[in-house]
Amino acid sequence: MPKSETDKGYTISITVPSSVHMLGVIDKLVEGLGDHLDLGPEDRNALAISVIEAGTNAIQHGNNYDESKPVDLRFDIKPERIAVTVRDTGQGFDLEKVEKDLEAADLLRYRGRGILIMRELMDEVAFRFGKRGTTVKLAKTLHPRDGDGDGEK
Amino acid sequence: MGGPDSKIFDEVLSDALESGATNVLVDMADISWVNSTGLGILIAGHRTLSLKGGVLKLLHVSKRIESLLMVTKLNTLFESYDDESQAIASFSP
Repeated sequence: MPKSETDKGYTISITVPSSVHMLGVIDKLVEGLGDHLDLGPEDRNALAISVIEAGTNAIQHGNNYDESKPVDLRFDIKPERIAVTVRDTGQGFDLEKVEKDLEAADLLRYRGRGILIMRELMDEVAFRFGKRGTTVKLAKTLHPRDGDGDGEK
Repeated sequence: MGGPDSKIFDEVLSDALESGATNVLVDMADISWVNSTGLGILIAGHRTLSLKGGVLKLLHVSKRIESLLMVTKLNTLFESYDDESQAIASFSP
């Protein structure tokens, strides 16, 4: 029996302007969430790195650094799983082309790592392109910390 | 790194290159996060220094950034150190 409503799951939503200055704010939010959920280092790092990448893509590619355009972030938190949805107002991109480029990528390529990073660290990365903008949904199963707090079972 | 500080880092690196530096040690102690943009800047620095026969190395990389470097396999590109004197010594032939 859950002790409170939030034990069943809850949502945190924020909207930020498309400024790179907001990446630090987003990072602090995710860091705070990691503390609140008592995440182990692996989950904490994966979440923080991936959300920053999604935020960067939204600000940089989706909204072209236009501070008048919003980036919406939504964190759906359940006891063993977190889903983060990041939305920008952009028209999207050719995902297939990007993924093909990534396959052929050399280590020194300057661009395109964001998607690769998210796919490596999160259990689910799904893009949706629509008239209202582009959404990326990231999801991860959370691993309970063991007694010594190193995040490993 | 990869936010508003990116430009500053880029400028500092450019200044170092213009002053003739070929070996650069980047102290990441105050860097709490790096995104792919930040990685791009490091890679660009690496590339430029390589062309001059030099190298870019990292100091005081956090566990989080270490994870990022491993996921992107850039840990094979950048040597990183926890001790500054060891890092500096590593530049000697």
